[in-house]
Order: sequence, then C-alpha cells, then structure tokens
Amino acid sequence: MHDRRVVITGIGMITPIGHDTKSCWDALKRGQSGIDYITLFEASEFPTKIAGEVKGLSLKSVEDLPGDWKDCGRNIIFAVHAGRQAIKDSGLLDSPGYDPKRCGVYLGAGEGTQDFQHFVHAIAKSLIRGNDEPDFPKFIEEAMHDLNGRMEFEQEPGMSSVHLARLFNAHGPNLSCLTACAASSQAIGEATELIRRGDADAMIAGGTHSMIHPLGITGFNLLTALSTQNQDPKRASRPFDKNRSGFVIAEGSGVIILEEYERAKARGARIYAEVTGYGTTADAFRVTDQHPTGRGAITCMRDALADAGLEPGDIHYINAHGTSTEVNDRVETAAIREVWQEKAKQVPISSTKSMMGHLIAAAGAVELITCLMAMQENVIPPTINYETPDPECDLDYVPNAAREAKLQHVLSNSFGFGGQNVSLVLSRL
Amino acid sequence: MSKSDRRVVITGLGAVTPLGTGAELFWQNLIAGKSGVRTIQSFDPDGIACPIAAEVRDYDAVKFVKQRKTLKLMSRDIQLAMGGAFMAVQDAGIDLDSIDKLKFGVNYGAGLIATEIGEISAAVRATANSAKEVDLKAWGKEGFGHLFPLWMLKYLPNMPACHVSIAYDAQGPNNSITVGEASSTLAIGEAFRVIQRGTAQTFIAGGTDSRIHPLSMVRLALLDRLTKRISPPEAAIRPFDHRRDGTVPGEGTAALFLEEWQAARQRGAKIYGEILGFGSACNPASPSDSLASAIGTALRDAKIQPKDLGHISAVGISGVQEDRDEAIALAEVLGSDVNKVPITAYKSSIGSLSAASGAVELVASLLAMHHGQLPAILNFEKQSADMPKLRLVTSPEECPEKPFVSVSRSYSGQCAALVVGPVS
Repeated sequence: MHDRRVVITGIGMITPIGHDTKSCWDALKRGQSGIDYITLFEASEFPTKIAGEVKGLSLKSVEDLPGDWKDCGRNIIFAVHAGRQAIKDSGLLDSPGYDPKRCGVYLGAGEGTQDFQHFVHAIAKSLIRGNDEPDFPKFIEEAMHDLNGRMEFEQEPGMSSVHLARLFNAHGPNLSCLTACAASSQAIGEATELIRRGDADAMIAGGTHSMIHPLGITGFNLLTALSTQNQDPKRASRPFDKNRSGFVIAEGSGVIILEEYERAKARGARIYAEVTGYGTTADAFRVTDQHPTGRGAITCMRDALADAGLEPGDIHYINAHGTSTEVNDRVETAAIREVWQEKAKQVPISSTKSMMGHLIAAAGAVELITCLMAMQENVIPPTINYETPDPECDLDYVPNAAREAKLQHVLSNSFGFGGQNVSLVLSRL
Repeated sequence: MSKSDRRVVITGLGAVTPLGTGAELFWQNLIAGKSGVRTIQSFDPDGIACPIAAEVRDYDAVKFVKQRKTLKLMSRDIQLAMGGAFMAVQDAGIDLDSIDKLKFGVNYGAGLIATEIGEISAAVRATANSAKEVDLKAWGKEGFGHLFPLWMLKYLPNMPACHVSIAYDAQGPNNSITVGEASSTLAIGEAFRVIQRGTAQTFIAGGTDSRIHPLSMVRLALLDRLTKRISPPEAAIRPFDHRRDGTVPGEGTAALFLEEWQAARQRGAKIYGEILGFGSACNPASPSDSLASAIGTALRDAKIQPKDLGHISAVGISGVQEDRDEAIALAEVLGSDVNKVPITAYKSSIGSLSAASGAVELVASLLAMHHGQLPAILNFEKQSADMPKLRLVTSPEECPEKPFVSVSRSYSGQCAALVVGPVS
C-alpha cells in the first residue's frame, strides 16, 4: 500500500460516440459503433475511407472560454472540451484551500494536424528542376507566405497541456508524453506517481489526439495497420474476431482528475475509484512489431498487479488494448493467458475500440474512463462485431452485448508502436 | 521527499553537439569559447531572414548503429540519439549483461519531427494539379506508390527512445516527453523519479532534436523567434546581453547513464554526479513565476539553499522577453545571494537545441564541475537595463565542486529544473 493513495474525482470525454461521458457510456452499453465514412478530407480514393470522427463539434463548444482558438487543432479543442467536463465534475477548483501550484497537468497528447494543403503546395511549387529534388529557397518562400506561424506552433504536442494549465489554474508540474498508442495511459500512470510521491496533490491527466488527416491516414495505410473494410464501416473494427483486418482510426479526448485520497475525502469529493496499479515496460524488440510472446505486455500487467497488491484472479474485468489487428489481438490474448494461467478464461475481456475505434494517444484515457463507468454501474461494455471465433483468441471477450458483473478491481491495457506497454489497475474504495 | 527514496547517480555521458561529437570534444570546444553557429550547410537557406544555425557537422551515425539496416528507419533526430546513447553506455563502462533488463529504462525528450521534404516530393509531384495543389483523390490513387512504406515510423517522437531500448535491450519503463524546449530536463527528472521509487535500477535518459530543416526554420521564422543579427554568425546569440534580439536554432543530442547509487558504487563506477532535486511548473500567465517555482521546488527537493550553489545553467535563449523573465525569476530565487552565484548560458555557444537543450546543457555543467572550470557566456557585452542584475559568467572561471541547477523552459511556458551535485 502506498503512503499517499490516488483517487479519481472527475471525468470527461469526447469521442466518436458522444460529446460527454454519459452519452459515450450509453452508446457503449448499447453496443453502438461510431465508425463511418471520413468527412474531414477527401478520402474516397484512399485505401481506408472510414474512421471514427467526432461529429458536430465546433469552436462554439469552447468559445466561451478565454483564449484564441482559431489556430488550434482539433486535438486541443477536444482536450479543452473533455478537460472542462472533468474539472466541473470534480469540483476541484471550487474546493477550499485549492493551491494552483499543487495541481499539475500530464497528458499523453498527440501533435496537431499538419496544414497539409499549404505544406504540399509549397513543396509542389518548389519542384522547379524537373525532378523530385525540391528547391529549398523556393519552398521557404512559399511556406513563409502560406503558413500561419501560430497554427504551426499549436501543432506542438505539448500545447494541449499548456492550454489546460492556463484555463484551469493548474500551475504545478506540467508534462506531455507521446508514446504512441500507450501515451495517455502512461500520462495517467506517471501523474499518479507524482501525487503518490507528494510532488502534487492533484493532477489533470489524460490524452487527446486526431490523426484523421491526409498524412495520418497515409502513414498508417502505408504500414498496412488500418482496416480497409470500407463497405460496412460499423462492422470494420472487430477485435478478437477471426476476420479482423486492422484497426479503425478515431479521434477525441479523455481527461480525468486525480487527487490524493485524504484530501479528496476531506473535501467530500465524489470518488469514482482508486488508481491502485501502474505498470510500464518496453518490448525492446522491433519498432515495427510487437514481441511475438508479448513479453513486454506480460511484465507490464504483472507489474501493475504487483503495484496494486493484487493477484490476477482478483481482476473482474480487463479493458483490452484490442486494436482489431491480427497481431495485437493474438499477442494480447497470449499475454493474458500467460499471466492469468488457468483463470484466463474466467476473466471477462472487452475491447471498446470495437465501438469507438482507436483514438491513438487518447485511447488509454477514454478506455480508463469507460472502466470507471463500468465500475459505477457494474456493467461490462461489450466487444461488438464479434462473429467468428479465432482459435488463437479463445478467451471471454464479452461478445456483442453488455453484461452485468460486480466489479471491484479492473485492469486496462494500452500498447503502442515501438513496443510501448502500459497497464493500469483501478479499484473500488 | 519520500523517506524511501533511493539515490540516483550519473555514471555515463554521451553527446553529439554543434561543438563536436563526444562529450569530451564538446567540452574542450566549449571551454575554449568556440561557437557552433555558422551559415546553414545542410540545405540552401536562402529566403529565411536567419540563414544561420548550430549544425552538427562531424557526425556519422553508421559508427553507432549496430544494425545498419535500421538506419533507413531513422530520421536525423533518431540517428543523433543513437550516437549519444552509444557513447553514454560506453562511458559508463558497464557490462550490460550484468544488469536486470526489466529494470533498465529509457526516457527521452523529443520534438515534433518534420518529414524530409525529399521523401514526399515524388508523391506531391505525381498528384499536384496545374495550380500546384494536391488533389487528394489522385493522392489516394497514385501517391502511395511514391512513398516509403515505413515512412511514418521515422517521424514518431517516441522512436528515439524505442530504438535506444531495442539497441540495449532496455525492457523497463520507457517514455518520450514532448514539451518543447523543456522536454529533456523533464525526461531526466522523470527517470530520476522512476529510479528513486524503485521501478527501475538503470536508465538511459536524455533528449534529441534537430530543427535544421526548412519547415522547422520557417516555423521559427514565422513566430519571430530568430535573431536578425546574422553576421558574424558566431556573435548572433547573446543571452542576457543588451543587444540580444532572438535565438539561433541548433541540433544535437545528449544521453546520461543513470544508476541507483548503491549499484553504481558496488561495481566501482566512475560517478560524475548525483541528481539531488527536480521541480517543474507552468503558469502560462507568468513565465517568471513558473521558472521561480520550478527552481524553488527543485532546490527544496534537494534540500539545498541558494548559497550552497556552485553555479546555475540558465535557459538563456537570447529572447528579448524570455531572458528578462528569466532574470527576474533567478533574482527572486537567489535573493540576497544574487551577487554570488555565477550564472552561465551554454546556448551562446551551441544555440537552442530545442528538446535536446536540457540534456546537452546538463552534460556541459557536469563536465564543468568535473573539470573545475565554468564556460563563459559568449557575445556578452553588458546586461540590459530592463532586468535585475545577475552574476553572469563573462569569462571562464573556476567552477567549485558544488551543486548546480540546470534550468529549461519551453516557449509556451513549461519550466523544469534539476539540481545535481557531487556525490557525497
């Protein structure tokens, strides 16, 4: 047991299936998919034409907040939108004795969307030699003319955490990490450690990202990581199903408020759960592939359980990384089997990416909030689109329909390109 | 400070800098008062008002990457990182087979890595219309064939740390901090905490960045951060000087090999110093408050008074407002000792290495303490009148073997400070 315990007292999210926690959670329980055809740019000739976009979001949702938002990317708008929900939900800023220097921000935040058309226009104009060699002075001239400096600056991945510090009067430690798809889980884990050690009393933590833009989809398509099952978008993300064919990219943000337990209790805060376990490891194998045995994932889940002082059998639900790629779902299953041994088939596992898609850096945060809602209501959200069992994925994936279950301790996995692994354990008080 | 905190020492240094590859060569050029700032050589910078930078000119990544075929997966930032990490591991003189790889972590400060324009120009050429606009339908149909399949992996900011973890089988905690110019100080600080709490025993921590890229330079120029004083290049960046008018970008990397103190002692390691304290803060409305808060927190964490400091390595980015904010913060933190504690600013020699700044500057200060000499701030004539008077190092002087503070700050206001001292 840690001397200083860390609890969650506020949550907020925005995803393809809702603009707030309640609507996201209701959609998850119903098994509703947020995947559809891409509208943010002309993707009709891309190998992948589908994604989980946040629909109907405009600058209006943040324009009542101080700041100049017009040069900010969707990632920042999402973080501010989710952050203000979490702050309001927690009541932290109104609590007596709130000390801005004891409250920090730690996000796993993606970069902003590159100004693709202006960037490639400058490149096209620089190709004056009749070959593919750019003329740099020409590129510079065009780029100096066309690009907006403020918009370029706001693309820096650390900007979201600065905006949250400014808006929510959180002047303590301020960090941002970008460990690919594990980033926001890592941010929440390290933020928990900051409070445990006493470097802060409260942290605004989570993640935000949008890679639904031409270079984002191009990059993932080139890696053949994305599903190209364009004909039926809502059925394309099918974690653990035999006919899975890649992940479906999505966008959004999840933000939580972490607080030192005694302080939260003293101010009468509503406590969703305690963060009891955090594990983080590297595969140290290849930048292109997960280690085939899942060695990093295995150690990471074990470390998180040990940190929480729990045995595998104590866990009542695993929110899987479950990307719907052939390799991840097979390796994650094998890793769970290795850690849970004969109990592996007894622990319910689901991948909510089947509904929300994969929010990349923000995935871990929105999935952790999903776990908190599951604990609140004792309902496990399903893995939808699960139709054909895969002999290599032979565990209980809570197929297609939500399930009631008493949830005392849950574990959430996040794994990222490059071999990044993070597991978090939440426990009811 | 938690009672159970373990002690963390630095036992290996690696650096690739505008003043040379290798920590010792970097040090020799730095203490000799040389500048790494020149006219840009790696691309034709014509059209940027500031065509100067601190480039790394003597680096050959092939020497430092065992698996040669992985080089094509590495952007400039990653290739630099591989050299720094290699030299840090070598300098530590450790038999890596003897350590627990599950307790061996990596943490890097990294930036937003801009794609090489030549890598996507063929796709652009194939899909641009007569107005030189890319038609996304054409891009979707024909662009992909002109791109390297693993293109994206070259530019993800977590890849420096991932490649380093693979090269040294470091299977422990692995993170990449992306907080602009404060990144690597935060990364080293976090690695310090991870060893303190016992989650890891050994770390490679540092930072890497290169802003010597047409797009990155355009971004800096549009934000009006660059100096207009371009001739002679070596006199362009002048921290705290009355004639400062902006920064000069650079590139480089540094890595520190960190170990839990007992383990280092048991193997008889050479110890450069001990990390004593870490602090970070961000109040975007008041940069000087944030800096003072980060430095103050780090000093309290280290249980060190300002009077105990041997020197301070300032941010000193040579911005009109930024240096003023910093001088106010330093004066506030130092109080009555403001006339006593010498302050230096290495950016005057090597420019702003962005996400790598903190790591490279920490290496400089460790070597200063090690050699007993403190490098001067180059190009300094007199302190501008709009800021509190500091005890700035204007010519090399003796560096006492006492704790020092290394300070970093991002343009958006995130601040971090590390206190490092001789091991007692």
